[in-house]
Amino acid sequence: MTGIDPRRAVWITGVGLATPLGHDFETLERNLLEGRSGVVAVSSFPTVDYPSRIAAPVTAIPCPPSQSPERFGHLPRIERAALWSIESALRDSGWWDRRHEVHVGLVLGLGAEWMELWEVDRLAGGDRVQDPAQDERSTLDRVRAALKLNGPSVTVSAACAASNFAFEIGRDWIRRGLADVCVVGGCEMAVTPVGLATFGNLRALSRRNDEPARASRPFDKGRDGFVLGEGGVFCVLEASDRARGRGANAYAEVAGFGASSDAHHHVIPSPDPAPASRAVRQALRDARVEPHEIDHINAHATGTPVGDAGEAAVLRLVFGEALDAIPTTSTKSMTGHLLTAAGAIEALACITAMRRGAIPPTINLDEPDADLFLVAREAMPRRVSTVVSNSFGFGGANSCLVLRSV
Amino acid sequence: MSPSQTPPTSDLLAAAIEAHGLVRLARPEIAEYRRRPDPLPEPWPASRSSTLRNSDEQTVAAVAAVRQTLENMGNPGPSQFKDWGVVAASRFLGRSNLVLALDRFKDEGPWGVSPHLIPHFALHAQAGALSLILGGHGPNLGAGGGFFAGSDGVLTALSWLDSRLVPGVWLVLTNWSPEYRPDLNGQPLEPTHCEALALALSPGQGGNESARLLMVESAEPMAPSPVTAGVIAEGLEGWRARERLAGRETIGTDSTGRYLVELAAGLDPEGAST
Repeated sequence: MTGIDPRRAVWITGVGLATPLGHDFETLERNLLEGRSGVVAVSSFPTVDYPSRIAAPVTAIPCPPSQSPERFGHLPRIERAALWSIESALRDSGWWDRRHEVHVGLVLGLGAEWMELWEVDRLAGGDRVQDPAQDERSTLDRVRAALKLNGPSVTVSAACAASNFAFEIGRDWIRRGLADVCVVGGCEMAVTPVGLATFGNLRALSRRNDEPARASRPFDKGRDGFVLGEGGVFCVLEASDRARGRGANAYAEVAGFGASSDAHHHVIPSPDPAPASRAVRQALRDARVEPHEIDHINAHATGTPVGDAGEAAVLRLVFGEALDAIPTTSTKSMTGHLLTAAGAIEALACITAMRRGAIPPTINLDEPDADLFLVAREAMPRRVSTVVSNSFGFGGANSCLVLRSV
Repeated sequence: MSPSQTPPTSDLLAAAIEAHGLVRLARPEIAEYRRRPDPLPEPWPASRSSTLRNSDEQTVAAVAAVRQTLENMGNPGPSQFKDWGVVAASRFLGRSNLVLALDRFKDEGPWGVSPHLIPHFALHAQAGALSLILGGHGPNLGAGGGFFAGSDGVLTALSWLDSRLVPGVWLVLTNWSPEYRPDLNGQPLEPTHCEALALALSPGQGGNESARLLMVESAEPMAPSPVTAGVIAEGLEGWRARERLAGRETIGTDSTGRYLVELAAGLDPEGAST
């Protein structure tokens, strides 16, 4: 392992994904920039009695090369999504064949692991939820063993803010020398019969069932809730000097992180923008950038009436007049809300803006309902170097990531 | 495992234990605590009566453990903790409720599904509830969720302190002992108690307990041994009872047995053992 350097630059050198908009980065980028929606009518189970019958599901997760297709097909969907996207990220980074030479850490954002596993088993007639002996190994344990990862690992969740926290923990492990390489991200497969019902009964989901592709409408006057999405998205982190030394392809630097809590309510965001603004300010300070130096904001904005308005107030409080010149988007309009994986897929959307010189749009934005410079309906050509990505979650969790091009 | 049996290790992360509190509650005691209007001692403000109404029993026990820790510290007010983070490592949150919820879904379909499942039984829920009751604005995060949640929680909390993300961390570990096995009504098939341990951690070398919590890497994997609320509390109590002010002790591992959780003596400002 390498030495300790608390300011050491940490880069993203690999990405892997299983998402509603594709299972490789090129496909995801193309779909994001073309403004395609991954939202469809749910068809994997009967939904006639559901208040919300739409979602952005992941279908046909590919089997990673290291796994047996027969065994892979019988694994829980969470595990399949994690295995595919983590192995893909390590292969993309160039570390897969050399992973035994280094400490590879894993920070897995995953919030409803046991609920999802117990549900699938129970609805198939099993008794796993009543029998702890069947739960000895977590998804983290199984994935780490299957992929032969040998560094520290942890499962974390701040609900929909989980992935951003994973980036921060992974960055610290690299700087501290706990891991030479760290895979970070999130995975959630919540489009299940009970998952769709519980979010629907919470009145959190859009009921625009007749127009699935137009249902996710962040910052639009007609928004009526978020659309449940799912997926697994992971990035490989390593120190910049190590990456440079081996001639690695670098996607971006993880330049800043900030986090806070509302301490207001279990599920309702605070009407006071101060707590969440503290997370954004902390991330800017950590990245050593001023508000006017930010080129683009990927907002958390899920499409709920209260949440989107609240985030707009947070951004105005932090950025002031500079906000009027910063293009802001919510890619959840296309991907749906990937919950614990949301921060990770939105990091990839930010990287897309850097790499392609174009900011992915907020689709379905017919009547903007926020005092923001919104990227409406079509991608916006723009040189992008430094990006803010917000992720807020249940439990009053606020997080902000700053990514910088390298 | 005694220190002499421990294979060579390298220290990764450490924090000072400022105070701790352990509760071991039966279900009726949890039900009683849930209704308290003052989950934390004065001068902490009272909470809304609905704050813990739908929370998992482990979450209620977690709040009780934080209360006991504050009492052990002499009831300090909220101001010194306003920026502290919360890391909550629960094991199998919501199992008893999910038996009923899943079977009700099978009987009644989607309309029978409670909207409280994600807010109160997903991994983030305990940390979120603690953050709400403590009223601070530092970050909150759930860690673990399964058998080895304890080591996940320790690793996460020590990482936060190491990166200076927060000035201190409330690390709370909860679990049922023995593990909760629900019947079809969600009732336990055998007597069980909920254990909850709260640790007030700071980045210093020696807190009020003169003990440090460490995460270390072993040269050779050991037999995996989960770190639970009871295991850490037992280690701390034994530490006090033996008046042991030097050395270190392995008290559990992660699921691989390679990453170890240890207790060690605190250090004075000059770096010598106290």
